[in-house]
Amino acid sequence: MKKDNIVIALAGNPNSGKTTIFNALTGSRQRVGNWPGVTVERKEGKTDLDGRQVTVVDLPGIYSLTANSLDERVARDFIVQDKPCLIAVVLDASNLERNLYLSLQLMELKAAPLVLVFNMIDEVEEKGMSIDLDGLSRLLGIPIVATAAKKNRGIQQLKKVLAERIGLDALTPADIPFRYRENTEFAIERLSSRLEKDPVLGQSSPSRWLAVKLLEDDREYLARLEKSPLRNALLEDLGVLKKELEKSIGYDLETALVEERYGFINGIVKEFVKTSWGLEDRLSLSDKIDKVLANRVLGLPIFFFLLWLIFKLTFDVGGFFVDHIDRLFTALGSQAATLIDRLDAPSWVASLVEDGIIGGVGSVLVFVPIIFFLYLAISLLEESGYMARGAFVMDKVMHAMGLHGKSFIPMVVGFGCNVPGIMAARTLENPKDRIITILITPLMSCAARLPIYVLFAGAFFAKHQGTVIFAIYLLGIALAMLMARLFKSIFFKGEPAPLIMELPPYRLPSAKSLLLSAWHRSFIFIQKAGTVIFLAVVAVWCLASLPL
Amino acid sequence: MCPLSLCATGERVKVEKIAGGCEVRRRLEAMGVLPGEEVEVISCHCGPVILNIKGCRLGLGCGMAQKILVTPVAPSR
Repeated sequence: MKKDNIVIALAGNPNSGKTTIFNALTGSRQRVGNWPGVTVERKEGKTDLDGRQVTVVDLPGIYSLTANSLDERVARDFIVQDKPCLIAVVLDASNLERNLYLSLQLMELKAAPLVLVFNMIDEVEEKGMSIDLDGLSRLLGIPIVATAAKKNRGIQQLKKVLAERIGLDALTPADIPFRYRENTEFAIERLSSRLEKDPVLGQSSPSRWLAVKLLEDDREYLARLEKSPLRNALLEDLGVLKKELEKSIGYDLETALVEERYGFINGIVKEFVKTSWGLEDRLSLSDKIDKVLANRVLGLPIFFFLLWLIFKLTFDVGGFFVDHIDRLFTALGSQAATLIDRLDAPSWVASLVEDGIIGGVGSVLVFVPIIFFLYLAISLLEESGYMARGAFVMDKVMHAMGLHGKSFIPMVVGFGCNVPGIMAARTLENPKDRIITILITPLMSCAARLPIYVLFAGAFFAKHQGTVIFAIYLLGIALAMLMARLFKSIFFKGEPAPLIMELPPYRLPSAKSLLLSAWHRSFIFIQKAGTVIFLAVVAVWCLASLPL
Repeated sequence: MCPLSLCATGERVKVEKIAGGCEVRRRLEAMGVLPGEEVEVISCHCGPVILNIKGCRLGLGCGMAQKILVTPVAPSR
């Protein structure tokens, strides 16, 4: 990254509205999902802060800086190695206790000055809660901006605060109000003073952070320690300190450190957040919905019914538009041919334009409506929060095939397009589960394969088109399951990782964001039709029509 | 002390111990499932469990729920 380039990183828990903040800041439209880990790839956007061009990077949603999953590693590596000028931490303000954990870790890391964005402040107000933002901001020494990104509230204020904080030293504020218990602090001090003298490690990150991470047994930092010339002395120190501490605490040190952080946060929330007991309304509604949708008996049938409904609607509604677009292109082709004839051009030009270019590209573009409606349905599943429930109810079935409940999300997204499907596999923590999921996702029939299915089904099974197409889809799924079992028993032996997944409260997605997200994804298909497919069509026409 | 998978819907329990690899424990701990923490069982069907932890809903697979050992707590409200 260039030095003169101002980079702001957006960090936060999944479902905290990070992507909505990103869209509000940069004006660019990405998809906004509601299942954990929707940020499929690193997204960048430009924004204007106080007349300066700033790059905003949307990091994947993470719960901690422990680097357990690939998402967490991606986010942590970016923060530690790329050194953004500023980190805006987006929090779901209606759920501060869990959300502040990541903020506290970022405060400990001291990689960049922070701005805390308390998003969904409208939900806090609706619940009758109140947060003493000024008090909390003063205690932490970090500015806090309250926003409701969906309603575009607080965005101007956020931009103003971000602009003010650009260029501050990474160590602002120099001190954070959080301390571990005395024994732990002592061990951290001792270890970090040793680390400071280390020529390799001392340079990379603040030594206090390093010491904490080493005491936590963080594998990545332990691996870095291996490269240090003072390795043996440091490892010995670490061992002795850990043993002493664990003896005085009575249990695992790592758990104790997490506990102390949560303890501090608990204190903050008690002091600065006023709650009234009507607080859980939104969740209790979600709970009621889950009684049905995530039910042990009803969950699976409902899930399959919804999938069937999606395909039915996609083909019925999409099919209606397909006929019209088909007619449009046929008319366009013959019009163009007549026009070219009138210009006295050779007949092969007319044929190239009518049968080759317009006919060829048209035959692909007619499927845009179907693809659009399929993406619309997938976006609806994601943004409403049902996708996470799908993974939850499918867990047992997936487990039986040696897969993880979350493997199901890449597979469903794969129906739209395999590429984002494969990218979505990143949220699986266990590398084995991830690789199997990536290997079988291409067996899901993606939208681009649909035109070919339709063509074959129409040509050979004209009477049972719909059934045949559905059967091809099922065949793909069956094949995927078979391959998963096969891969599992030959290459990746062992149990899949257990499912741990946040179930976000159900939210009514806005029509605008659904349409935008479906359009965004369909547009990529249209782009391909305009370039790759166009060239291929011309090549095929040449082979078919020219006397070679 | 019993595994979470055996708890009844609506029960309030205290997490005593997380038996399981350190990977899994780390992930649970980062999300606030710590020994000593009180959680509410929103739904439990001797398998997938939905928990209320710090106001969030957490879905746990069968195997996971068996590895979290809990004790029941008397209802506070």
